[in-house]
Amino acid sequence: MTGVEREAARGGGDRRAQWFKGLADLALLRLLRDEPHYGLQILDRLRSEAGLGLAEGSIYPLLHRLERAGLVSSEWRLAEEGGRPRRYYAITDAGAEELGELLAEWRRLRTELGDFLERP
Amino acid sequence: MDDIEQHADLKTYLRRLRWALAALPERDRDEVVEETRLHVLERVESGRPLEQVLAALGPAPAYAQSFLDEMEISGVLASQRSGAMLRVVARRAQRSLVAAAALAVVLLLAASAALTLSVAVFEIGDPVHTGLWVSQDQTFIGVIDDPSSARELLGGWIFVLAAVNALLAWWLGRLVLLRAIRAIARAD
Repeated sequence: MTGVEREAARGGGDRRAQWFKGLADLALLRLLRDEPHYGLQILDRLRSEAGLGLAEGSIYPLLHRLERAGLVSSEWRLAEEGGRPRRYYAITDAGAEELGELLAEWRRLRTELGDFLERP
Repeated sequence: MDDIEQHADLKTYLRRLRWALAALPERDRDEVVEETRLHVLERVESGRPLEQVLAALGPAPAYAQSFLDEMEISGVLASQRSGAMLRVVARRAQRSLVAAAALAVVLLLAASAALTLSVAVFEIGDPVHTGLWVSQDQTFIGVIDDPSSARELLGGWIFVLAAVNALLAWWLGRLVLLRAIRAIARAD
C-alpha cells in the first residue's frame, strides 16, 4: 500500500480538503494583494504555488462569497483586443484588513502548533 | 474553438447550470454561467478534453448548489435575521452535525420559553392552581389539581421568570445559530 493509499484509507484526503478550505481564504486574499487575477489564474496559482488542492469547481463559489462579504471586488475586462472577456478579482480595503488578521492568526497558530508538534 | 462553444455537452451543461441557479438574481446567474463558460473554453484551449473539464467541475446541479450554499450563508451572516438563520440551520441539519446540534439546542430553548410563557398565561386565568410547586415528592412548574398538597414558590414572579426566560432563550438561540452558521461557512 502506498502512502497516498494509506492516507486515503484513513480519510486523509478528506482531512486535507478541510484544511485547504480553511486556508483558501487566506491564500486567495494574499494572492490578490499583489494584483487582480481572474478565476482560472487564481485556481492554478493556488494549486501550483500555495499547494492547495482546490477542486476545479470550488474557486468561483469561494470568490462569490468573498465578494458578497465585501472582501474582494470584480470587474469584467478584455484581456487583449479580440480576446475573450475575463472577470478580474481585486482585494478591497476590507479584504486587506481581513488578510492582516488572518495572517496574524496563521503566524500565531504556526508557531504554537509547530512548537507543540515538534517537542521531544 | 467555435466548435467547442457549440458542443452539445457544453451547451447542455450550461443550460442545466442556469436552470439550477434559478434561485439567484438574474444578473448573478448570468455572470456565473458566463464565467463557467469562459473557464471551460480556456481549459479546453490549453489542451484538456471537454469531458474532463466538465467532469472536474462536477454535475451542474451540484456545482450550482455550491453557489447557492455560499450565497445563502453569506446573505444570512450579513443580515443576521433570526428566521433566516433558523431556516438555514434546519435545512442543513440532516447533513451537518453542527447544524443538527444547534437546531436541537434552539428547540430546547424554545420549548423552555414556551413552557414558562404558557404557565404565565395560565397564571392570569387560574392563579390558585398555577405556579412553581414543591412538595415532598416532586417539584414542577405548571397547573396542580390540589393546591393544598404542595407549596407554591413564585406567585407573581412567574411573569418575570417567563419574560426573562423568553429573552434569554431568544438571545442564546441567536448566538447558537450565528456560531453554527459561521462554523458551517468555514467547513463548506
